[in-house]
Amino acid sequence: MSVSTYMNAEAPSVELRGVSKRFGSVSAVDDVSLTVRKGEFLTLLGPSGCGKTTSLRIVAGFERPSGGTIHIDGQAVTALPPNKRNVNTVFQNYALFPHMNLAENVGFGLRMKRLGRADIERRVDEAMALVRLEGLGKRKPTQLSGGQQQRVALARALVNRPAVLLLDEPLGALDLKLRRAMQFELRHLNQSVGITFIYVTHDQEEALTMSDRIAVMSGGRILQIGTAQEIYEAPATRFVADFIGESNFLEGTISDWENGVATVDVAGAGAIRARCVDRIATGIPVSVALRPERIIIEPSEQPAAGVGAGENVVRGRLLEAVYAGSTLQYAVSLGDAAQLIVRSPNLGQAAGVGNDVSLRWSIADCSVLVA
Amino acid sequence: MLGPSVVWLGVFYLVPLALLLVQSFWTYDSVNVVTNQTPTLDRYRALASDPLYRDVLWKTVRLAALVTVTDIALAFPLAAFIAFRIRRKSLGLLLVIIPLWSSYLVRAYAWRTILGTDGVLNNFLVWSHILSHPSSALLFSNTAMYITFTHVWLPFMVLPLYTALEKVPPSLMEAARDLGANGPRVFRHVIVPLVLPGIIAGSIATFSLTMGDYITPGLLGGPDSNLIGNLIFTQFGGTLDWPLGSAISMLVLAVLACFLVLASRTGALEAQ
Repeated sequence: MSVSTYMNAEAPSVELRGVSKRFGSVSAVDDVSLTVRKGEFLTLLGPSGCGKTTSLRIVAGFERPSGGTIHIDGQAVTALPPNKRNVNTVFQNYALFPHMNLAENVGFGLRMKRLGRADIERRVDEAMALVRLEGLGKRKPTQLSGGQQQRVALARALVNRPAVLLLDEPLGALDLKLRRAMQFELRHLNQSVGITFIYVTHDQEEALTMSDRIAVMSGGRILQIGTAQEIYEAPATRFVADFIGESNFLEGTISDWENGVATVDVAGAGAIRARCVDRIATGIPVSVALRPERIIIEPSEQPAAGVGAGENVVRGRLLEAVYAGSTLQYAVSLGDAAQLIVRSPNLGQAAGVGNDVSLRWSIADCSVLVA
Repeated sequence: MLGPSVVWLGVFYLVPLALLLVQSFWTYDSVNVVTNQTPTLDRYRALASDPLYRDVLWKTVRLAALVTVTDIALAFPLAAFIAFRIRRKSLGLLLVIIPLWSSYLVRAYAWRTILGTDGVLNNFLVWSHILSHPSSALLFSNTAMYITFTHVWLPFMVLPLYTALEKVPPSLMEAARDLGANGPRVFRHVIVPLVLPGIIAGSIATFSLTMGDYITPGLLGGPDSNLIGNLIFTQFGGTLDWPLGSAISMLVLAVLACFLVLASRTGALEAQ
């Protein structure tokens, strides 16, 4: 291996530094910095209009950023047009060329690179085999199902062996079952071909199951970036906690802080202890975020025996029980001010509506978010 | 629903064409300047033996092809500009259509005032000292005829081309760029194949309109500017040799039929 390729291997696959994009007075992407490692599966996740697609289009070269720089494999590409960048895109609507058959579609990039006919044919066959469409090269795109078109779009991008593959909500138009299968296939492809994937989606489940890391975006900014587990277990902001999975929020004020655990006074629930990495001054208003499935619900007449020192216990009244098959979902009121949603595995018996119940959860399972 | 349109086509197109075909086999008595209905191939023999008809037909086809190619070249940037670059597309289209509201004769005459000895162009050339005297070579020439045809048929090329361009999804152009195509190659490999039906629709219009025209040669053409349409007109209006006029018309129809067959070979007509 030569020195230069070794150096290149050390450079991040994609690096955005302070990238912004304004359309008129609207700021679509606002000071985004992001480093994507080689071979990583990184997902940009957020609601529509959060700037994730614009960010992807900036990496592809379809949009010129209003500010900031983009590097791919250590090379500055900010001013380069899309055809000069070593990246390929899988478009949301596939964007297959309707006047070309599948082999011509897949071979288009190689033809633009002026490869020989034999080389093109061989690599197109390989790419078609990779997405399990061998032998269909003579078909036209309109003769394919949505899932097949999706795989052609993938093959058309991967055949060029780009440094980075950009995927813009590629599974959005597929039905649920096909989507699940394609998620698995994409993850597998990413690991087998060693190409960096940047994946844009608004579907949190897709993001959680496929990604090495997730960047959660809102209002043109990246709010948090981390593994699925980091994002889910320790959301940095209330938006992240709410957007990824479901969360309960208990509003209160800080009354104490010690060794990464804060005590929060919550109306109706009393003193709640929650994870809090940085010290927060007493009296500051905060929210405590808590996942519904981490709460254990018990009839309140049961003695609170076995309650560990690392747990919070509160009492409440069961307002509602929803039967959802494998789970049961409860709404529990803690006085007039607060309410918690609890999700329990369905073990065959539901708690009775109107009864007093006792709720407990580990301190490690709830975290303090500054409002 | 098919019934009325079949009747329409039959009464207004097929019957007259059939009459023309039958008439082309009639006998023409040049001494008494009358025709009788004795069937003969005599008029077709006259067509084949006199090189005049072949030369004029060939010249007309060449001019029609040249006008068509020029109109494609002129219409592409204009249609692309309206489709992709301006916000008020309907205004752009209106500007293309407005000339069609004036008579074709008016537009042909307009070129006489532009190209004539005392015309706008000559005045400009003399004023700017490019010419010392007004040139009479501009008007009454094959070039003047070519310019006029190119201009008056241009909207018939722009409109179908615009419609085709507007239907090209922007994502396909982005995909081509993404796969390494520069501007000219996006144009050649993606845009042109996708708008081919529009180009062919426009070409059918400009080609057949030129093939059938006999007004412009009279208004702007020179002594050697007679087109096949003028020859047909002479047979019906001057020498009263209607069978020969019908036979020449059949020849023109055959050329246009060949053109349509070629056009349909590309598959563009099915897509319309």
